[in-house]
Amino acid sequence: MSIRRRASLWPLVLTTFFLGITLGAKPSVVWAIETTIAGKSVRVNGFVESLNIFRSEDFNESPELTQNRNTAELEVDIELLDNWGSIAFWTVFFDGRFFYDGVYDMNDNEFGNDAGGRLPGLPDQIPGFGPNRGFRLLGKPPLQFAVPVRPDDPRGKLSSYMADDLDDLRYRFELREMYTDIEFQDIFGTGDNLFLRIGKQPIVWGRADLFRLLDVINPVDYGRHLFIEDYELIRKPLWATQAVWKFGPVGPFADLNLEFDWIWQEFEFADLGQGGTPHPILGAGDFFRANKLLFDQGGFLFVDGQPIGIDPATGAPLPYAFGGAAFPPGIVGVRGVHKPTNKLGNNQFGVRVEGVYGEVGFSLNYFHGRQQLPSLRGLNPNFVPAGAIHFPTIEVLGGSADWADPWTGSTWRFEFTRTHGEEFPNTLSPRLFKQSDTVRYLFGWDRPTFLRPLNPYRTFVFSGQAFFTHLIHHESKGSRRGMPDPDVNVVFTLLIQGFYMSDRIIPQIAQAYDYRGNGYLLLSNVQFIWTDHIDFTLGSNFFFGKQKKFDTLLGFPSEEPFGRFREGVISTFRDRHEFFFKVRYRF
Amino acid sequence: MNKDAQNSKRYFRAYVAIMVCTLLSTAGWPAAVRAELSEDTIQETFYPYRHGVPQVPGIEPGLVINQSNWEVAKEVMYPEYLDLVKKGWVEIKVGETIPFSLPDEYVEATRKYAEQVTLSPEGYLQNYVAGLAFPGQPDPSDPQAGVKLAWSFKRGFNWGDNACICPFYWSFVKGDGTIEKTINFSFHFLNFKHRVRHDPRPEVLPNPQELFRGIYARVFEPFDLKDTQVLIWQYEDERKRDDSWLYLGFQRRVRRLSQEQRADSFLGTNIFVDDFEGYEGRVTDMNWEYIGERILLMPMYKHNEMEFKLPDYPISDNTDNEGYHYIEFGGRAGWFPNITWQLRKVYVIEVTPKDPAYPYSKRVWFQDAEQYTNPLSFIYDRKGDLWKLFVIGKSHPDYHLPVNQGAGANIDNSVHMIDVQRDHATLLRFKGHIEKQRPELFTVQNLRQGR
Repeated sequence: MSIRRRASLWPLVLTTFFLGITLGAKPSVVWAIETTIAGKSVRVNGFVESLNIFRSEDFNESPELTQNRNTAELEVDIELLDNWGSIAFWTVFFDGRFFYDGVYDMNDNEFGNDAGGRLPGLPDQIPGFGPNRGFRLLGKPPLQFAVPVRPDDPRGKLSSYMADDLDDLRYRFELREMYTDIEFQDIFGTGDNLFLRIGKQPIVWGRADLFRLLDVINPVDYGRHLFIEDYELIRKPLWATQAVWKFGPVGPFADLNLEFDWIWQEFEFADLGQGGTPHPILGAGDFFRANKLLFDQGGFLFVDGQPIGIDPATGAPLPYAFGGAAFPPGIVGVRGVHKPTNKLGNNQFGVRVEGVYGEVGFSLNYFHGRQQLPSLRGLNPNFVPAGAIHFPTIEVLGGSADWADPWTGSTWRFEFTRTHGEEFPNTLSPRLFKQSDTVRYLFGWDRPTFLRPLNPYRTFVFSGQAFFTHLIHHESKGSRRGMPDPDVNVVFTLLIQGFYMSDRIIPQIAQAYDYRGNGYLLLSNVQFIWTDHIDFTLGSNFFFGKQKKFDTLLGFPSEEPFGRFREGVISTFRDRHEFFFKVRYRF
Repeated sequence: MNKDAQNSKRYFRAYVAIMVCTLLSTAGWPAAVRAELSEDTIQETFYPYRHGVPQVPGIEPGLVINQSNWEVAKEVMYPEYLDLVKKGWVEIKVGETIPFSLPDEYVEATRKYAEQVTLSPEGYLQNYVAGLAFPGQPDPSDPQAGVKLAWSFKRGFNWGDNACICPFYWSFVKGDGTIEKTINFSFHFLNFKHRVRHDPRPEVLPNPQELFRGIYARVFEPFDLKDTQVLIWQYEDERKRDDSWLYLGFQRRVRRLSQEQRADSFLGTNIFVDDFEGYEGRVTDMNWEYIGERILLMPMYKHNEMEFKLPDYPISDNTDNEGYHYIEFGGRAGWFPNITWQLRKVYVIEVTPKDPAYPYSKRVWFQDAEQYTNPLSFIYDRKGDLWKLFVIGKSHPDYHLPVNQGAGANIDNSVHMIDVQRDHATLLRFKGHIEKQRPELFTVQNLRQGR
């Protein structure tokens, strides 16, 4: 990042900071807008936030801006009826969000339309392809892909799949939520209630933090900032109907509920971060863009830093070792995306029984839907690395439980799922993917504990989790052929959170260790809640990991394209350490 | 078989039948065979001021006790609080002592059922049906006098069968008067059992878990805590520890709370969950030593007759759109409610935890001898040093909102919890309503319906 561009950041940061001070310095007795319209209670809350993230590669480079996200969010809550005949209550809720991410303007030579550079060993103009600019190489040698990284560069973009142009990435208004809640009481004289939530909404299942075992109904936007942001911020609400038959206390159950969820909107995939954007999880967005380019243009593979499969002088595809065949367009790479159409048969639905039995809270869950992460299915059954993205149908069966243990002063959480229909890459399969049932389970432990030398007045929260994944139909030959995802893996997490000055200073350290991916993540931050209206957060995210190589189908192993599945989400982001500063004004 | 033998068998069967009936009647219908409480005990328990209100020379209604005349109150205030007067932090205005009589239904239930109530050797309540658990003057020679008073508090009428406090403002105030943060809650209470005044009586059914009481709270503001919800279930059988859950709006998930969180700052305030309403923990987790009876100044008053003058605190014009005034705070750092205190008959108890790891080493507890609630307590840290001063100002219901008039309950109305070690306070302003609550509010599923 140039000096000029870095300097241009500061006016915005300082403006945000001083605006925050001005607004936040008011006495902390100003409240949300609360009024009555046509006799109905209306409450309006919201916030304005600026998040600035800087990244340093392996601490060697000076930090560069990777996010300057300025968000304004408004919530409106309207009470229409309260205890009126058979209606216990009826409310309406709206949540809208607008954001502007200044990184594409302030650091446009990294992430905007000036981003990227020349591909090595190729001319400035590649015949039939266009100018040799706006590229980066994905992965480490020996095998690398050429990725077009400029948002407005159409090269390598998949239609309707992570294919935003610059303005889409910079600005967006999202109607986050818009739903109505209505509860009918004493249905048919049974004493049971029926709760309905209809509209655009998040449906949150499960008891796990960070990991999504049962919390699979709404896709998430990992491209915003990997999995580090609260899911509340990155979960993508869906148009759905949630109906809960509330039996209440019945039989041996202190509380029993039967929930049916019908997601009637068009399928939404999980956003993995478009190629060229700052936070592509697993590097997937870059990979797809590179492989779309490969499919459309042919060539554009690099081995040991040198282009192969393309004539540097003419840009024409050359024969390559890959089966001794030529490498023209339409042979290798990603052809396109098969997104489920919006027909009734593609609707997703879930059923949950949730209750309290004795001292145990429990749920039993079933979800019929789509895999939100892409599956790349080979186009022909000859081990040719050309495919199309699919989102296969999956069935998730699972449950969860929690209970408080008075002897240890802890609460325990357990969650498990068995998923049928998930697809994974597999270099032993002719079409390079394989379906495998997957069992996932998680043990969680939470305990507030006094560390009196550090704070004699307030406990620290300790929260640990062990998350296991088993691929039941895993297939491999040796350590580098077959399915790159580990057959069994475990990820451990530990959160320690403290509270000072009446919970106005909240330091926390979170760690995650991916056993098979050798990834270690250390998140630390301090939040200072200055007033009811303004808070500041300062923090860092350190990613450590190890490069893993896997079969390339080219006769040698490399990190690309399958090593990323061995590495996992932490290792693939290794050495990209981050520092961030956030200021939020809320009302 | 001869006739004598047949008679013997007949007599034996009759004897067995009579014995079975006797046993059944004792076990199954205890109230029917037990004596009712005497009128004298009823009068002594519920109408301590029937022969006149307490009189202490020099302490008259209208007196203002302050830095210049604090010594006049040495007999009617404990030094822990009187020291604040002496330092000039607060002036105590003396009000007229007025009876806060409990409702007739509660008195009648006590008359009917109190004689059968016993304590197990471990201190658990037995055979309790309704009303005050242990009426009558506490006996200083009774080693269980303290724990009996504790049970009279836990099964006391308190807020009645059901109530809500909405809105309910909790402010965090530093020693220099800076308001750091204010939380706007609603709190809801529902007694599932032992209901005497509001239908359904005597129990909200179905109640398969045998809950005694539910407490549900929801945060409306500030935005970072918005939609945080808390649910507490207290079981009839104290051997079962309370269950509690927390819903975090920013996670949209319900988390079960551990026991440890009950004795920890609640959302950063100076108040523990165990401090709610005076003491929200289990009776049997504490040792209760009855110290004696005193006549003391207590923060009990007529809400509608308090002085309201602040124009803009904590919400616009300090008055809501129904014309309700919140109690105002003044004195040093704005920590002290502008209320009157009145002379009351009080039972003093020292409460010490059985668990040595509990953050408090002792509470000195002042229990009103008419309402059996706890308007005042002093709290000590593990080293034995004074840590917190807890005042729950209570209004007479007939001088409060119309919905509360005639309710018989003392209305919690203004609280300060002062942390004297950290020079910090949490102040609570109430708008309490004694009214019916929907049982569905007290389910875990209700938390999940949050935003």
